[in-house]
Order: sequence, then structure tokens, then C-alpha cells
Amino acid sequence: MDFEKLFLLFTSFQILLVVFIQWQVYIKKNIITFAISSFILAIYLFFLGSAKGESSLIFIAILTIIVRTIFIPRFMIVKLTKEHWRVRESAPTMGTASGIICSILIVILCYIVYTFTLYNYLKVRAGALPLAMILQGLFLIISKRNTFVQLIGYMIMENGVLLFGASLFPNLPFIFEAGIILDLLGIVMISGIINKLRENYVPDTLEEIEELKG
Amino acid sequence: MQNYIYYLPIILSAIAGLISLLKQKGVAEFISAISSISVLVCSIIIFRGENFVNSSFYIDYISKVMIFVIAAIYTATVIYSISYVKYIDNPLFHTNHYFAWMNFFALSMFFSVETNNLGLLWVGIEATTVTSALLIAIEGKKESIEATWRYILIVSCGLIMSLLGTILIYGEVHSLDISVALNSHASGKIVILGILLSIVGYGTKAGIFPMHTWLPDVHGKAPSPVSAIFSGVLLPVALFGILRVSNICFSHEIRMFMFILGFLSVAVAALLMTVQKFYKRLFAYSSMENMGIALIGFALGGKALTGALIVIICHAFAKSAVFYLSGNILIRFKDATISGIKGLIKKMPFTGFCLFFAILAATGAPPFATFIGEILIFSKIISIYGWIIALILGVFISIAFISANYYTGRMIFSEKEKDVKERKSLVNYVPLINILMSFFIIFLINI
Repeated sequence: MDFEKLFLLFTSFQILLVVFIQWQVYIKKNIITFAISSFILAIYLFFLGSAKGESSLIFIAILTIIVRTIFIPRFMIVKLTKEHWRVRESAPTMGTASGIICSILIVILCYIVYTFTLYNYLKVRAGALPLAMILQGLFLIISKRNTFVQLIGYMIMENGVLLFGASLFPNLPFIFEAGIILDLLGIVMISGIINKLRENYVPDTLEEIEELKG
Repeated sequence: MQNYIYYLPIILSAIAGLISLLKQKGVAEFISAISSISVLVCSIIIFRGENFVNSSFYIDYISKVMIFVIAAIYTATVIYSISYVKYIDNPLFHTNHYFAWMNFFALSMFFSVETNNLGLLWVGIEATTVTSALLIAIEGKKESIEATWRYILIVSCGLIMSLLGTILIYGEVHSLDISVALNSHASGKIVILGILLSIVGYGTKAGIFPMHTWLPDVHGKAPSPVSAIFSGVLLPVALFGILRVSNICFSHEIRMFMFILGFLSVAVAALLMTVQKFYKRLFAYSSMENMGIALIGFALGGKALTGALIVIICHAFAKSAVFYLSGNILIRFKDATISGIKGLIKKMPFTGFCLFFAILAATGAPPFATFIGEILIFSKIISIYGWIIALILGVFISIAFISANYYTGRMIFSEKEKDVKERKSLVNYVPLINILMSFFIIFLINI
């Protein structure tokens, strides 16, 4: 099996899903897209683990399905206080079209930089794509104001790191990867509580709070 | 010494955290106090013992110092909190949860400084975000909720860089064991990139420029005991992460990168301190300045590293005292602005007197040990980079010193307006003990 081609295929699909999240304004659809993205990641990890005989990757794939595909999206939808099919990004810091263009430009730029730098050491051309995913996630955070979308941006960054680590160094210790997933779970649960409070106390179109300036 | 002593700080704080979840009146306070004092005793035993390395623990001298500092500030904060939480109007959750999270927060810090695994070091430092976030938001005000969200988001995104860095380090070292990595003599481009990314990530948590933006918000809006433990030990724990990864390959590029980040942190914090309106934000920027100085010490190594450790220890005691005292002020004055606090020495003489010395200690005035730490760092800067760089850094440190002491002095010695009184509580002596520790600690431990 040509792992690099498989890796390229899966990561390209992930990149497209992130662009879709960048385009989408309804929060529930963003959460579902993230769940699909995580499910695809889990399938890839399962393939990789089976092919390379790394049982830890298979466990990580199972954990990814439980935590990132089922639990976290469900938890986030429950935490949306208003009718969840109506909740939408109300005041993005950047327009939808320019956001998508920037997200695609990030991928292209990352690929070029990677090709001239890290590729010489890692020798996996598709390795640029998980790194691009990390930057796309970061861009999603700064281009949107809704806290749930920002949280999705953070989780996309984590998915990018997991994809990068599992593909390039598949024998990473299981305890480390399991720790990452547990931490993610903690961050999402705490963020869910804070986001719910924030929806009630702090509007999206927040004026600068005097005590948080300077 | 038996190995179990190294498990005790983690186990005791975990047990205290779990018992604190019970809603019986006074149980959380009592068990947290007992646990923190027991952990402090353990930390002294560990400090006096030999270095210890096995598959789980990597306890060297720096770990021992960190365990002691965390235990000391954890104890002081728990004791101070017992009185302080009564003054929180309409807390977001029951105060027993406050103590539960405080214990879990201490647990995650002990875990971070004891582990012999770079991956678990990252997990531990990320876990401090999970365990501390709700502590910031307990007052339930929109500012504190907004500050909590900024904290979670900025710090977690920053730590993703450390995660990527850790994976890259693994790619070259082929092990996450700290003991293996430190002896690997790895010096390839991948490991250097991994270390630089890790420094950026842990630097975010330590409030290092340019990823410091969460720090003044959180320190400004968290309850004072939480600000104290954040400033006193959370920031140094993140710096400890930087020290661990940078020691894997202490190359010129890495040292220079750390030095520049430390220098810029001092410069930016010093300049921002001159325009502060809120006293807790002022003290937060002072913490950022101190972390910058410590990072410079880490970058230079040798006696500057000793200086950095002295700065971290004394800053932990002095700055936690400053935040406890600002808690006293906030409770009585109900005002967070510098201009709103006048005549502290007449209305709250004990608090005013302690704050005067605490801020001197925190900003590096002689005879406090912070001054000695800074002198050690400066002498190393002069020997490596010459007088001009040392002079420029000295100017920024002076600006920070003058700003912190001018604003604090104005609060303490100006004419009084409001009629408020000192609150009578034994826990008032906690900051006084910490100030004395920031002076005497250098004689008590052999650095």
C-alpha cells in the first residue's frame, strides 16, 4: 500500500472540510462537519495502525471516534443555549469570501514553505498538509467571533497535530496520544461551560471591556 | 529515601480534590489545608533528599526547587482562600468546588515538574489550563468570564505549538523520556525546530512576549488568591517546561531566541506598566517582567541560571503576597483602580505596610533576594553581550521598578478619602510570612 498517497488523499479531504467550516455560518453545521472530519481521521488512523501493526494507533482511532466524533460534537450541541438550528456566526471579523481565499492561500503558502524547508528532513511531501491544517484552524479562530467556532478551530489544530504525529511518527507512545485526547476532552468541557456563560453574559458584538484593556 | 515520597504531592492533592467535591460545610477547606501542609512537608523532605530518576520521575535540583515553591504557594493560597472566598458575592459555583479545582490545579503542576516524559510534561501543563479555568471565572462577572475564555483559547492554541514541537523532538530523539533526551546529544535541525516551537508554546503559558495578552486579563480579573498562585507558580511551571526542552540541545540559536524573547518581555512589560489604571493589571505586568528576566537567566546558563532560580523563588513569595494584599484592598475598597485607592497606610496600616515591602521584594529592591538573582543575571549578560545590552535592559527594569513602586506608593501614602477599616483575620499574616520568606529564603536553601 502506498501510504503517502493515502495520507495525501485523507489530508486533502480534511483541508476541504476546514474550508467548508470557514464558509459555513450555521454553528450546528460546523459542529457536524467537525464530527465528520474527526471520523475520517479515525478511519485513517485505523488503516495506518492495521497496516503498520501499531496497536496504539488503533486504540487512538477508537478514542478519536468516541471523543471527537461522538462525545464532543454532542456536548457542544447541547451547550448551544438557543434553538441550535438558528445559532449562527453573527459578526465575523472577515467576510466569508475573503476568509475562504485566505484559508486556501494558507495551504498554498504552507506547502511552498514546507517544500523548501522541512521536506528536506522529513521526506514526506504531504507532510505540509497537516501543518496547513494547524494554521487553517488558527485562522478560523481569529476570523470568527463565535466561541463555538473558535473552539472548533482549536480542535482542528489538534486534529492537524494528531495527523502529523501519527503519519510521520506512527510509533509515538500511546500514553502521550491518550493524554492529548484526555486534555482535549477537559478543554472542551470547560470551554462548553464558559461559552454557555459567555452567551448569557457577554454578547458577540462586545464593546471593549475597560478592565481588559492595555 | 523511599520512592513513594515522590508520589505523595500528586496523591495528596488528588485525594484532597476529590474529598473537596463533597458539599459538607467546612470539609473542603479543612482537607485542602491538611493536604497542602502535608505536601509542603513532603516537598521539604524531597528537597533535602538526593536527585532521583526512574521511568516515571525525573527529580533533579530544579524539580526539587519547583516542587517546594509550588507546595509553599499552594499552602499559602489555600489558607488565604479559606477567608477570602467568604467575600465572593454570588459565586458561580459552590465554594467547595473552588477548593476542589485548586487541589487539582496543584496536582497538575506537581505532575508537570516531576514527570520524566516530555509528552506528559505537555499533558500536565495543558492540564493546568483545564483545572484552573473555572477558578478565574468563579466571581461570575462578564469581565472574568471573558478573561477566562481568552485564557483558554490563547494558552491552548499556544500549547499546540509545544505539542508539535514535542513530536518533532521525538522524531529525532526517538524517545520522550527526559533522561534519554537530555543525554541524546541531538543537534539536528528538526530537534532545534521542535525546541523553538516548544519554547513558543510554553512561553505562551508563561506570559512571554508576544503571547502574553491573556496574562493581564486573567491576573486582573481572577480572585486574588487565584492571581497569586498563577503569578507565583503557574508562570514558573511553564518556564520550567522551556528549561527542560532547551536543555536537550542548548545551541546558540536556541539561547539567542530565548534571550530575545526574555528581553522583549521585560521591555514590553516595563513600558505597559507606566500606563496602567488597575493595580492588579500593574502587578500582572510586573510578573511578566520577572518571567522575562528569568527566561534571560535560563538562556545564559551558568550563574545566570542560578540567578533565574533565585528570581523565580523570591518572586513566587513576594508576588503572591502582593496579590493577597490586593485581595484585602479589593474587599474593603470595592475598587480595582489605582486612583480609587488612597491613604492605605492610614486606613489599613497592616496591609499598606506589607504591600510596601512586598512590591519592593517583587520588583528586585535590595536586600530582597530577587535583587541578588538579578545581579547574577546582569553579570552574565555583561560578560557575554557587553555593557550596552545590559544597560538597555537595566533601563527597562528601572522603568518597571519605578512604575510599580510609584503607583503602589501613591495608593499607600496619599491622603485618605473613603473610610474603610482593616479586616481582622489571622490569614492576614499569610502575606507577611511570604514577604519574610522572599528575604530569608536565600539563606534557607542552598542554591
